[in-house]
Amino acid sequence: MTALLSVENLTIAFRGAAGPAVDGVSFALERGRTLGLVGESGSGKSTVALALLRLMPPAARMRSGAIRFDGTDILAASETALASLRGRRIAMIFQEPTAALDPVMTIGDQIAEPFVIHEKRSWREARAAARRLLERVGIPPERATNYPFELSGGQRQRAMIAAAIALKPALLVADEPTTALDVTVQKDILDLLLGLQAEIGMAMVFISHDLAVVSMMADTITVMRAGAVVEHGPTRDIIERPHQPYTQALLDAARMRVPERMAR
Amino acid sequence: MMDSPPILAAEYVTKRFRKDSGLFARGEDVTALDDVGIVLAAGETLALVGESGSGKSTLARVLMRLVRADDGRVLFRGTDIARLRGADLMAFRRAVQMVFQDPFASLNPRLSVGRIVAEPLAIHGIGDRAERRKRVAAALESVGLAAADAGRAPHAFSGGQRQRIAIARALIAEPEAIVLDEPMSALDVTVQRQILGLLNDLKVSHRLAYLFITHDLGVARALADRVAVMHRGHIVETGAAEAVFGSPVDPYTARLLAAIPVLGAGRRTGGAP
Repeated sequence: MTALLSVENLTIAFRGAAGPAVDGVSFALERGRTLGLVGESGSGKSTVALALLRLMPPAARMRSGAIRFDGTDILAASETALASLRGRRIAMIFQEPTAALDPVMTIGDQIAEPFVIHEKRSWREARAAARRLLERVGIPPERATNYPFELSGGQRQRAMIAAAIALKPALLVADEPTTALDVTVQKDILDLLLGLQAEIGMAMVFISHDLAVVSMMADTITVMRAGAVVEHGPTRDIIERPHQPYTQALLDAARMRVPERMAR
Repeated sequence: MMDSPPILAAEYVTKRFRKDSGLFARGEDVTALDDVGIVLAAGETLALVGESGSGKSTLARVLMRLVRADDGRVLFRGTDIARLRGADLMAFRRAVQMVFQDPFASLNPRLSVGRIVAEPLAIHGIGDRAERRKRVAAALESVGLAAADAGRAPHAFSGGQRQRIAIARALIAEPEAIVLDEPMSALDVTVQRQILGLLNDLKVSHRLAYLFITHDLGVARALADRVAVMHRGHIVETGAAEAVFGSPVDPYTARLLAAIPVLGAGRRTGGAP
C-alpha cells in the first residue's frame, strides 16, 4: 500500500544555529492511521509538523529531504497547489487555539470560511454547515456568533478542531493539541479526535511531549530527540519493548505521572 | 503530633476577587477560596491537587501572606499570621519558603547565581561574607550544582538547573517548610523526574515539610504523604495519599483519576480507550 504521507531524510536548519533543528528524519503514514511524534522541547517535532504544510519560519532552511503527500511533492509544489491542499486535504491544529483563531471573527464564521474558500459555497450555506460542525464537536450551535475570547480554553480547542475537519481532510496534523488543557478536558478532546477520525477516516500526525497521551492515539510512534529520530515502531512495541535508553526514560517519566493504582 | 502545633494551618479561609468591569464583562465577585481548611505538620508532604482555576495557587499565596484572606485565618505554629510583626514576621518569612513554577521568571537575570541564592541570608542578616559564601556553596551542592556556579548568571542554565537554583535559595535559610507551586510544570518530563528525586532526597536530609501544589496526580502520588483535592475553591477530599488515590470518595477526585492518560491504554494497543 502506498503511504498517504512520506517524509524522507528531512533536514532543516535555522540560520545562525549550530546544528540542524531536524536532522535526517524519515517516516511514512498510511491512510486513516495515526503516527505519534514524541519528544521533549527542542526535539524538532514542531518544526517537522510545520514542514508538512511547508509553513516553516523565514529563518529555516531546508537542507535536504522530501515530503510526499498523496502524490504531491510538498517541498516542490507551487504556492497555488499548496493553498488548495492546506485546510482542505491537510489541516492542522495547534497547542494554543487562542493564537490560531482570529480574535475579531466569530467562531461560526471561522468554521464556515473553509467552505467558502475551498468549495465556493455561499456564506449562508457555509454558516449552516458550521453550526452542524459546532454541534458535532460538542459546542451548542448558538455559540456560533461568539468570539473566541467568549469561550473557555477547551471550547476554543473544539472550535479549532471543527474548522480543521470541516472539509474532511485526509490528514490532520495535531501539534500538542491538549497540552494547554486540564486533564479532564484533555480526555474529552482526545475522545473527540478519535471519534472524528473514525467518522472521516483521516490520518493523523499526533505530536506531544507526553508519551502516555501519544500511546492512546497512535498506531506507530516516532521518538525524536535533538532533531533526530531515536526510535520508531508500532505503539505496543515502543511501550513494551523499547530499544533505546532515551525511550525508556520517556516511558519512566510517563509512568511516574500515573498514580500507582492505575500504573501498568 | 498533638503536642506541637502544625507549621501552617488554614482555618475557614475565604478569598474573593472582584473581576474588572471591563468593556465587555460585568464586574462580579469570583470566590477563589470558599471556607478552606488545611493543615501542614512538621516533616510531612501535603500535595494540593486540582485543575486550573481550582484555587490552589491562591491558597498558597494566602498561606504565604502574599494576599490577605477575606475571612478565616492562617496560623503559623498556632499564631495568626495577619498579626505577626517585626521579628515574629521575619521568623515566619524565614521558616516558610516558596518555589515558583517558572524559574525563568523567578530568578533575577541581573544577579549572579551566588547573589540570588544568598539573598535570604542578607535579608535575615545571617552570617558574614565568608559564612555566606560557604552556605551558598553548600546549598548549590545540595541541589546537585557546583559551588563554582555561584559566579555565573541564571541565563547560563537550563530550566531544570534554574529550578535547582530556586530550590537552593529556598533551602539556604534553613526553613521548616517549602511551598512549591507547580515547580515542575514548566520542565521537560525527563527533567521533572530528576527534580522529583531531588525534592524527595532533600525532604529527608533537611527534615522539610512540603506543601506541593500540582495539577499532576502522578507527581503528587510519588511525593506526598497526604493529598488535598481542590475543585472550584473547595477542598473536596483530603486524606492519606494511598487512600485518596486508591479509593477516592469524592466523584470529582474519581473523575480526575480516570482522566489521567495511561501508557498503552488506547484501543490501538488493545487496552480500553
